[in-house]
Amino acid sequence: MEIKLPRLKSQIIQRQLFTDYWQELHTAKESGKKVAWVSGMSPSELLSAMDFLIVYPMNHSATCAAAGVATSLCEISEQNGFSQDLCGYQRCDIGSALMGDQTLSPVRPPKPDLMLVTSNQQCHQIFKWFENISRIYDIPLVMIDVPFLDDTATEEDESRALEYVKEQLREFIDFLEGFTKRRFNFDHLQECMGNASAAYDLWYEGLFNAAKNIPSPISTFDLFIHLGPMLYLRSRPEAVDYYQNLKNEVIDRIAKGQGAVPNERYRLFLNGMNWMKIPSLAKLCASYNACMVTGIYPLLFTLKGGDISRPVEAMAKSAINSLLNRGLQTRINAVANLVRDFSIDGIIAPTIRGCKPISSFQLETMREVEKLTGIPNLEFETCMVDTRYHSDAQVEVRIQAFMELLENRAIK
Amino acid sequence: MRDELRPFIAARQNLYNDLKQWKKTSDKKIIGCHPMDIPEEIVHAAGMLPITLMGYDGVIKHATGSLQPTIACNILLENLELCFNGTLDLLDGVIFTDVCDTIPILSDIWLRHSHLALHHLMVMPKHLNSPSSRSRVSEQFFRLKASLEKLNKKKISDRDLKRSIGIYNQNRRLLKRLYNIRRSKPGLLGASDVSAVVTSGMLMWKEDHNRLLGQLLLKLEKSPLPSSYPKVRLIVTGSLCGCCDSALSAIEASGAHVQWDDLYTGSRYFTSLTNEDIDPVEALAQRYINDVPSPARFFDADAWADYISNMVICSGADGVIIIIRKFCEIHADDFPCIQNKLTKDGIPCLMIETERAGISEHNKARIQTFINMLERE
Repeated sequence: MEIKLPRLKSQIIQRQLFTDYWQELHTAKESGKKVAWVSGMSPSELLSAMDFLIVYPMNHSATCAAAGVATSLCEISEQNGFSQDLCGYQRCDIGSALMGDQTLSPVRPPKPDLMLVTSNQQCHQIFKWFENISRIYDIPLVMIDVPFLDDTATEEDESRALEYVKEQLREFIDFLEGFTKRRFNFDHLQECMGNASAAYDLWYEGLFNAAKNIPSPISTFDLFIHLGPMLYLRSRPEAVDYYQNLKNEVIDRIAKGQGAVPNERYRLFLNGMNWMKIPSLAKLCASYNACMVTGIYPLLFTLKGGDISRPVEAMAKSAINSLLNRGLQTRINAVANLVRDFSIDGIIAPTIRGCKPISSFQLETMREVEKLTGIPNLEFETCMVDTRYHSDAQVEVRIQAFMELLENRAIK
Repeated sequence: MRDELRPFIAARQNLYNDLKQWKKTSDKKIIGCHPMDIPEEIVHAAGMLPITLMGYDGVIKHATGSLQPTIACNILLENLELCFNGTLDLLDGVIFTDVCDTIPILSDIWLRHSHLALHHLMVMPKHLNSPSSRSRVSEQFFRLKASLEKLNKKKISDRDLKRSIGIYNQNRRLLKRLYNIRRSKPGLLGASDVSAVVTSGMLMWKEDHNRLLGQLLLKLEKSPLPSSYPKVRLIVTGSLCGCCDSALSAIEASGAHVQWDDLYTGSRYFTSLTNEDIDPVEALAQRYINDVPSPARFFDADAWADYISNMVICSGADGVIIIIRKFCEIHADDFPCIQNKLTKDGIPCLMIETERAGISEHNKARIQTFINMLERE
């Protein structure tokens, strides 16, 4: 019998928010608004301040995966010369762009006027992906280059990186003024940043940290699902209202002792992600009374706010401090701390085909985290969107064996 | 000709044993340079021997426990294995540049397992489209210079750096002469021989390489044009971060002549010269900025496609073979743009993916078919 996991009611509000937002996107031309496609860790507040509507191509690919059309779109890319070894998100989104009006995508994002990619994910494939999309649509692409701060980086390296990013943000502001033929609206920028910062704080305290409770009122599945407004709408007051409402709902669950998984016995950590399989993975784990309470991924794609009276400085700091922009030791420590803070019993660590910045060092990270915390992990290979690289049967068998291991440890 | 080529071929064969022996009698430091784009001149000017780390063909036992083998290219896994199995303990330092997604991670993994006196990652700008990104190039080169000075406890003078730049420029001019001979006397030199000559220069003192190259060129320039040579002339491009000898051998065995190339262990190594009349670090930065288009940077794919197309037109080649290393995402991502451009310009092209074991029988058959097709045209 399939397990039904209790959903947060805010999901219904989110559905309405996005229905309205996509309506706004599809009528952007008529309302005189410009559309920008941006990468996940970009300072999109700069665009929101100039009334651009934002689309996240990564999120678009995830939506295609959820709708079951991503693999077909990946195949379109491959027919046009893109290697199967490349990122699934990229192949899916490029496939959709190459199909034009015939795309299989359930949401059909409007053609962009501008693209913005920021390198703090340290993912070359995102830049190349955006470059290829900008070539297909023949529209301008702006890149904000954020230098990687590895484990040898000094304070001087960090301060140079900060100045370099600030300079590029100023260059981007100049570009936006030329592109829109309007003065940059710094007052509106501060409003956008204020909303984004408040939304982040509510998300972090109300949702992310709430999973420390036993039983956890939320699962990683909720963390992923409720990232949507953080990406698309964070510059707007609606995002603040949304996360306040969500926080209240989670507080209510905590007060009632209601867990995201009934009879929570084991608490799992997801180190990686797989959009198309998160719901089935969550249900599979729940069938063993295990809740995937948290993971590293949501932290990688949320930007903490800063001093909005110095917006450029705050955005540059936020960009260079992203966890993906930091060295391996910092990331190992971050995972180990989360494992301890969230009382984790086991780590599920999918290696994502084509995703080098997250998966290349999975083996090294998991070994070190196990040394630091004593918590075991399970690795398996998958893809974010492409079903050809995921085997349900294999994953089920491996999770079953892993749960038996956790049970044996619990008995001891 | 085999005798003249022997020292070049030998340089690669017993590299680490030879370096170990050399270390016993020399107080000079050896610095491993992870491909690509490291300004070796700065290492040379510090009185150290820069050697390019291009993997090895032994067993990989340890590296696959740290670096995910199903998404990392063979060069990175092989170099990490050399680090793990102690082969690279003879080095005094190692330098990386963040040319792809995996190298910054590889650098941090390496740092955790190796204790060389110098560990330096050059974090280069991802594009060169703005004044701020261009000025970051020289900033990174100065940072490398400072790291080497710290290791040596001695400043690198402008005079020493200019001298090294001169020696490296001389090397590039000599290599270009070699390529001109290959083009004008097809059949005289095999593509693998040319690759061995270029690659050996990445593994020995440039002064020695210049001397050996000078001797080889004298011999080659006196050699007559071979009486028979292949009809089909090709350009080979790619194989970033390492050699592609098995692919080159397969191309020649199929009856084609490699007219010119755009290989990492080929013309990409010597095409651009460094200005000897300006501040030396600034000159090296200018060389990096104005160098041949690279997939390690962004907004370069169209320029790279044009560059390859022009190379075909200028050399009179009949087609292009593009060699992509398995899991080299930067190259794989630029490939569709290059393919589209070549197709638009009416230039036949074939993409071959190489893996650790070289190229497959299937790919050898594809090369043969491609060349047969060009022969008939």
